[in-house]
Amino acid sequence: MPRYKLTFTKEGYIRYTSHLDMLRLFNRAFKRSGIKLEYSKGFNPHPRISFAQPLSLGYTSLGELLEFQTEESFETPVIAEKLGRELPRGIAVMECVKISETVKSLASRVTHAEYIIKISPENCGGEVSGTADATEATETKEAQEGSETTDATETTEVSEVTEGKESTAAKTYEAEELSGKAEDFMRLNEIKVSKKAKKRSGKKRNGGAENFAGEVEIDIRPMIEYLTVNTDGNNIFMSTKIAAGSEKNLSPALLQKAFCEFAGLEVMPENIEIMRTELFLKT
Amino acid sequence: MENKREQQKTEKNREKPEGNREKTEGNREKTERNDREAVREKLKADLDKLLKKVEKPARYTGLEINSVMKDPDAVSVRFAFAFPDTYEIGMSYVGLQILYDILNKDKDVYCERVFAPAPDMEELLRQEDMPLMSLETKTPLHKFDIIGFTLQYELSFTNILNMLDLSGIPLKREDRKQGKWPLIIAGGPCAFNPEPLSDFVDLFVIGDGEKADIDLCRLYSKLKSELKKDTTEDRLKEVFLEEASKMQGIYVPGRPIEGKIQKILISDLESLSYPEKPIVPFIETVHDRAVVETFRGCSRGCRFCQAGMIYRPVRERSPETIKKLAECQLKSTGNDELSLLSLSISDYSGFEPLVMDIMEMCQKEDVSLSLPSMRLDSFSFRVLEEIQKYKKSGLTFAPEAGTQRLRDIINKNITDEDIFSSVRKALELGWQQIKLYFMVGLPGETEEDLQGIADIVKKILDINYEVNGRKGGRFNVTVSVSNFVPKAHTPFQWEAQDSEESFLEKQEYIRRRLPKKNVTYNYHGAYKSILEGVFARGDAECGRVLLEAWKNGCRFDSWNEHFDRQKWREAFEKTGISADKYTVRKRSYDEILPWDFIDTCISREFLINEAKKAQMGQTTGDCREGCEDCGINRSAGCPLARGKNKSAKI
Repeated sequence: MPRYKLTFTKEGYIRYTSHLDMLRLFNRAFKRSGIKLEYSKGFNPHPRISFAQPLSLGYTSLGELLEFQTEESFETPVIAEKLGRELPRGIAVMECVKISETVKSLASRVTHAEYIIKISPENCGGEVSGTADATEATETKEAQEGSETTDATETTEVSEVTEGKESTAAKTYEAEELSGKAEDFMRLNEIKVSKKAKKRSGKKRNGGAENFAGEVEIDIRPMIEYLTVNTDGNNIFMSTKIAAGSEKNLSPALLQKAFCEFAGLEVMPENIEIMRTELFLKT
Repeated sequence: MENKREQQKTEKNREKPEGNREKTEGNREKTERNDREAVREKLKADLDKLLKKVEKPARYTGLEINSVMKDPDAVSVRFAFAFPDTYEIGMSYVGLQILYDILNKDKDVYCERVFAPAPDMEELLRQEDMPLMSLETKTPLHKFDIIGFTLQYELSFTNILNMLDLSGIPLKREDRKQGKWPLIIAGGPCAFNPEPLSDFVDLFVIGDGEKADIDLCRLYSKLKSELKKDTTEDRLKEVFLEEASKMQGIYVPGRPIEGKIQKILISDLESLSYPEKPIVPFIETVHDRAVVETFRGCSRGCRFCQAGMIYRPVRERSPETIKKLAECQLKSTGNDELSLLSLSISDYSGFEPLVMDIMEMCQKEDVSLSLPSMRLDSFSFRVLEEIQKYKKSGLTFAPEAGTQRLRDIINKNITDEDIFSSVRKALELGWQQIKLYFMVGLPGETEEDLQGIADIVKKILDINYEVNGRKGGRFNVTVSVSNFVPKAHTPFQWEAQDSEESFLEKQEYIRRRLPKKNVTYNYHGAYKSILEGVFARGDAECGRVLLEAWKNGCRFDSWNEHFDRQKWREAFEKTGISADKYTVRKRSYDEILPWDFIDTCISREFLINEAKKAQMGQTTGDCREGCEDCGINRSAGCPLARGKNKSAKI
């Protein structure tokens, strides 16, 4: 059966749709588009469609990968056009290509993923004007980063946090200092972080804490291909390529936490935005 | 923020250059408009932060396929359809899809949706001092012209108060008389006894809402433009309520009523528009499927059933329309399941040919078909074999009572033999899951009836051993026992409800007598049924308990994990209102009931006669076999009554 790989974006509110719901969403979009998917045989037939790598709830992406098989053969631009029309706002088809029917699944071929992690610390917007493009950034930034929107309680919280760190918020996020920290971070031989480990047993889930065997220390350094950190005066941008897939997998959130701890940055989780920019496959 | 706002203004001005003459007026309007947009943008940004912290954020985002986006500034009426429970429950409700579709077809109206925020979201909204917002444009509720609540079950009432409060809207209608507050309207089955909510709701729609809702919006729009220059918001509301109260089926609390308020009844379903493009949720909802309503009303006349009385007469859609709607919905949603909706699908007059055609369509489209409320006979087994194939889900029976005697009292037309022969057939065809629904606390119930429930279950297990051998396979019977709540406008509206203790005793009695192996036993919380009983037959006084319970923190009372019995108890104590007055007390036929001013077109004589027949254990036939003269034919016309009345039959 003809097999295809689709590259698409996931942005805006649609990023709050979970992996499983995304699968339902695509199934329905295919149904509406009139492109019939190939079904598996057996007692419980299901359409042959799957994602290369799950994307965590709330992350955006510029390059998600989906593979599927259709009943009939189509020209790839036809699929891109027909399916594209049926996708909700926030999901755009970037590319559709035919792939060999014999090659292994995308999911088994994923090795790395590239991310941009945007950290928007509150209470520092507009303070830095050291970089040339800071003014422009202030204008184009999304409303949510506006320092004017911060209410009084949040202000106190943040200033309490930054107090005693001998640097003002503005100074903390100086570009050079940050990229230096990133270099120092990458020079480490070992980066130990604790991670909640799931129980590996196949026993029935009881839900809650019992699923976890507790905290496990892992070294994430071998899983980081590169990391650079920059700022536009308001936001900090971490660009990174890390291991992904079934063999080794690093969560970008874990890396962000480790780096922020290392660099002494206090960040509220709601001020972090993670975008996957690319998935890498082995041939 | 300021920067952004300025930027938007400049852009807008560039887009639409205005003529010189209107410049000043136009600019002022534009500035207001841009300010409104800026406020919305700010709210969206604030909401985004909350979305990162809540469970199932897609409950609050909107933008689903087939949801409607309009320019809120380009319509004259902004309507918020409010469902007082979570998104997943509200989006499974077909009435929402119907009214959303009808209201949005009018270019002058914009209907948006709002659901009760789950407790985690409520906490964040209150913490950040943010209002509850609509899904479509993220507009705070208090900015709407009309908020329409649907009243599907009594235990959602505290959520209504909570949703108003979350948007800073005063809860009591008296407190909304002055100032620019939205009109709060409500409809749905619980509106048939509106008094418990009459302190909070400005206007109730009694009966079919399709025409009334759009008529109300048009009236509002008309008055708004007529009164625009020379009136205040308060006056507009006052005139609107006065005009609306003259319409059929509209109850405006606090206004004198002439005679009774007769329900709105749309005789011809074919004349109504039905959604061809329903909204497709991003997250899984309770019923995640395309749904076509086949008919409204029911001809069976079960005496406990409110839906069977208030939705009379039976009104069917033609098979052609049903098929067309099913096709359109599947095409526009991409759903892989279709369901035919009604109170009793097997009673549809062209049931067999309709199902054959729909089944063929579903097979062609790789869509599974679900037929809830189907009676099990030889035809339905053929259908089920076809549509369930390998995936045999459970079969459900609703005997409601454990003995024939009690089933005659409640007029539930199903015999032990019907059940046992269907179960045998089902087991032979490979089904392994049987579900049984019963009620306890029915009028005239004795110990034998409770024993009868256990006996039916034992007999079903025996049949399984006969069919599947000594070990019985992976067979399971689920027994669900609910507590009888007498409802307004039914023949049992005068009956006493059981006490909480009595419900608990009966549940325990059954538990002890049910076999353990291969049986799952579920029962409903007894105190919840008492609360349902209070509001189902309550008067305006009950509103005080409701308010107090909400103040105590009661929310999502239909959810076991959120229901807090102690808080409700305290609410009754504090207000000095006794639940017993509404529940365990038997009413006499000459007592004036709080809902007597609502006319369902079913005659009082019929209800009393049915109640008396129940006491004597006499059954009443199906309307399709002869008119029982319930009154609907005389006051509104009943398609089933044509040429078929009792005397003609005899």
